[in-house]
Amino acid sequence: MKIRLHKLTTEPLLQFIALGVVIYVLAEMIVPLENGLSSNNIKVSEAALIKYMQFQNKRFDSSAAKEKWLSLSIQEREQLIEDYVRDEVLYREALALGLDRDDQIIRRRLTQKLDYVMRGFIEDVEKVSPVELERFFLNNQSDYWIDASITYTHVFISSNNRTEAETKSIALTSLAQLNKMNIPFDRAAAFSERFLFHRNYVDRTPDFVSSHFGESFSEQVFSAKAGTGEWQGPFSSHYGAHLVMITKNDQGRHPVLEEVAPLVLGDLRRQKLDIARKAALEEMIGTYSISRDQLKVQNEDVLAYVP
Amino acid sequence: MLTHKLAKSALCSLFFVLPGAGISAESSTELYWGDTHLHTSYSFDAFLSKNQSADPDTAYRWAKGLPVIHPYTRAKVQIETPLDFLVVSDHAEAMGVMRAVVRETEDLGEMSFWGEVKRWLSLAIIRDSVEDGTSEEVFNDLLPDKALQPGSDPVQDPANVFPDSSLGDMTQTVKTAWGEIVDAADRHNDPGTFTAFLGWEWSSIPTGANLHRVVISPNGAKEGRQYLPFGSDQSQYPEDLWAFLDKTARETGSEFIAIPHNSNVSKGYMFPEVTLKGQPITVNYARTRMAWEPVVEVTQIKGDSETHASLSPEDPFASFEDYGYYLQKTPEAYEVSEGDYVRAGLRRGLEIEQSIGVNPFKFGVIGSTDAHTGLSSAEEDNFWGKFAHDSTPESKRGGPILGGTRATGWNMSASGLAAAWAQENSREAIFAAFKRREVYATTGPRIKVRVFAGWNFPKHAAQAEEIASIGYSQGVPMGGDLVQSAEETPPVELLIRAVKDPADANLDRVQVVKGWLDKSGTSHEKVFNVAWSGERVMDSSGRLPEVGSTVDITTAKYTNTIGAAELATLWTDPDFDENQRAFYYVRVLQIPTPRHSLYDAVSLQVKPPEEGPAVLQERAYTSPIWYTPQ
Repeated sequence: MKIRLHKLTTEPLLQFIALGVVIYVLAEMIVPLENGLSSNNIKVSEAALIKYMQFQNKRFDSSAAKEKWLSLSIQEREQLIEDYVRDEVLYREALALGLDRDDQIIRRRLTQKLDYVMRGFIEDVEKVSPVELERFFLNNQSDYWIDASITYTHVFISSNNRTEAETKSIALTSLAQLNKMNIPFDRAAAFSERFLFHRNYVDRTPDFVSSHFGESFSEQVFSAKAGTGEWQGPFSSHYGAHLVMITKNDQGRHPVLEEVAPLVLGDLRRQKLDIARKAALEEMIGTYSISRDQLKVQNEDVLAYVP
Repeated sequence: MLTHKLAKSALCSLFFVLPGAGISAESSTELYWGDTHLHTSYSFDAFLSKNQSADPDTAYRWAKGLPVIHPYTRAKVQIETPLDFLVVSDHAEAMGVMRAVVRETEDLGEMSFWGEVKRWLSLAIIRDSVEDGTSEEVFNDLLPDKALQPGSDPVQDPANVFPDSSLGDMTQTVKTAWGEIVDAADRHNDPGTFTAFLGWEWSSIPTGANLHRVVISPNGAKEGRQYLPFGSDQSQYPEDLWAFLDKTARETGSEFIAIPHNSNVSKGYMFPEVTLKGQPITVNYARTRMAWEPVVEVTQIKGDSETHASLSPEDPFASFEDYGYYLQKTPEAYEVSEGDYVRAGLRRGLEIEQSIGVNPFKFGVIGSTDAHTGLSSAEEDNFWGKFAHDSTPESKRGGPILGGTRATGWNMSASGLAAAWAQENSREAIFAAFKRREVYATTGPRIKVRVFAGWNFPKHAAQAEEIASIGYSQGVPMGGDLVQSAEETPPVELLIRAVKDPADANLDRVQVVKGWLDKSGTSHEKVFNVAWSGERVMDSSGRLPEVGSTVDITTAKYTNTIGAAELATLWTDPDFDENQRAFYYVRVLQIPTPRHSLYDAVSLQVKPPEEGPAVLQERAYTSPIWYTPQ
């Protein structure tokens, strides 16, 4: 991608910057390359390859890596060596160009990498006892709350073009007749007007029911009895009156540990890992001395956009 | 049985007090066609891929059937059959920013001196690349890298580095763009005639695992201007998107749904066994997901996600318009995963429901284009490409379209459309149809499909004048639930009618796809041929001879001398087991017709390109109906 010169020459700011860049590049060239990697010699040793394999797989177990190395076929070894050489060349070329300096992406990758390496070490150490799991579960019970849920069908009487009294009176008559005739769950549609959403609601939460019928309907239906085989109501919604038959109405509840054990275990492991990671980080920070400049507090409105 | 019938007729007379009882013709539903997934020049990738002029206004004008100027060829183009509704769903990330930068109307936050210098350079690079015609390179550079630790949480993968914004704070520019998109929707929304929804795309794609969702709101500018679209630059986890929708709905009085798409390139993460973070799927996760995501986009330009031949080996029509190319910088061989395909996802939903009590994948389906040209085109003979720059026969193999994927313009599929059964053409009514999943997908043609499930439909219901009134009063429509109610539940019946697109090809056959769960908690699938054209005879194993083909490869023409204009049936599940969870959806196949690549080949006077077949069988997929034992 080229930037057109005629445009650049018209920018005084750029002339100034260009001069700066030239000086910077000259200065960089004068500073000798400090790292020993600048030589053009790449040594492919067994040790280097085994180390390379561990980094490739993000598993730092040298004996396992060695075993794997010994099990590789000749072609696989050649492929590995080819990959190693290519990576090494690209890496050295990039270093030679100074691409590692002052680059946010590389900084972030490096920190992520270290974080990952730390995690690998910590994870092997941590074990969880049943007692510990139970205690963690009890302390964090609110995280595992299971919402109420309900299964029902409904006969709908629209309040469109009807007064409230008319709607209610039709609903009450219909209710009596539905119960008198013992109309079953799956016949509801035959006696209903068309409703905007579903006929049958299977295992739905108060939030979901509210989003289709409104809050007040949801409260009414969730406080009704299930499994009676009877039609109940009328319950009113934004749209009219509803006669419902409920087959299941489960209250919201805290589950027992057995129901959610894998989730709790995962959460506990993550928490322990976080604590261990933080401790390891604190330890690392402890080995540094940190000096701070006096920092001015900026107006919060002008804080930079953080994507 | 007789007493039952008597009771029924007695009831009909008893219920005279309820004047509207049963479904009258007026309260039935009409079919509306739309696209819920279209990008304009306000999307960064559309703009960098040479759509610099087709903005939301162009998109609406095209959808309404007006001639518009193509953003790349500058030719006058026009849709053959206009749409009834449209969602302009530009990427939330840097929405409108590329366009503003090139027009020099960007409004960016202050930065440090060096920040300003870097930004000045970035702006110059963007502007120059657009002027030079090399801006696709800038886009390809923004695509993700492949995972270093495949199989684990891709968001935490070391390779997952979100591109740093050297442009600084883009909020003001995004705000302006969003305001213009919202206003265009309100301007073009015309209740009764044409519906324009507010929408955007949340474009999460950690390490190339596509988790994209299109968000739709039926509200107008009053609510829409109170928030800015939530992008993957804020979080790449869908749980955080749902939390944003929940909070914003409460704060602004808006309603939302989110529609996942391109599960086919999600690397197994779209319909997974565990959450993206690797946690087990819980009751709450399942319910939250289903509250926000009632519908999935099953087919679009980047391929069809119904099912893959390796997941459905018994289904000869599987692997329609496969698209095996990940959206990333670095090439990576495509691997089929159960989490990638809709049918496998529906099956997995039954399995999870069996173990935790709630089905996290109880979704309906729609199709849409995901075109980036501002032109919603799903017509094979009038297909205007994925991006603007691959819209002409000669530019289909012009260069990399999506990073290292090696896909060409001929790998793209001229697909799909969203069909909604709604009471009227308005934001409220069509949105309600999405919420109740009474919507379906086609791969382009406007095949009309009704399906109702229930028990005891009248014997000749399929031949009835108006099957909807029977269906609605005695069953549930697509997207609905059937629940075991009686002691001995009879087999589920499906009442189905499919009608060809008046301006397109005849129909080959209607199929029912059933998924169910056996006693051990393992899911299965089976495809039944239930109605077909001509005098073909199904063999004892349920196979039906092919319908044949009238396509002339040398001219890209076909005739409607085979197939049927309409197919209808009342089908009873021969394998029904009242104790097994199940879902049923309908698939309708057209007779073979030319693929868009064949029209290109004929116009270029070359052999049909090897990317995809020369001839295909377009299809419709309905949303499923679920049966749940007590």
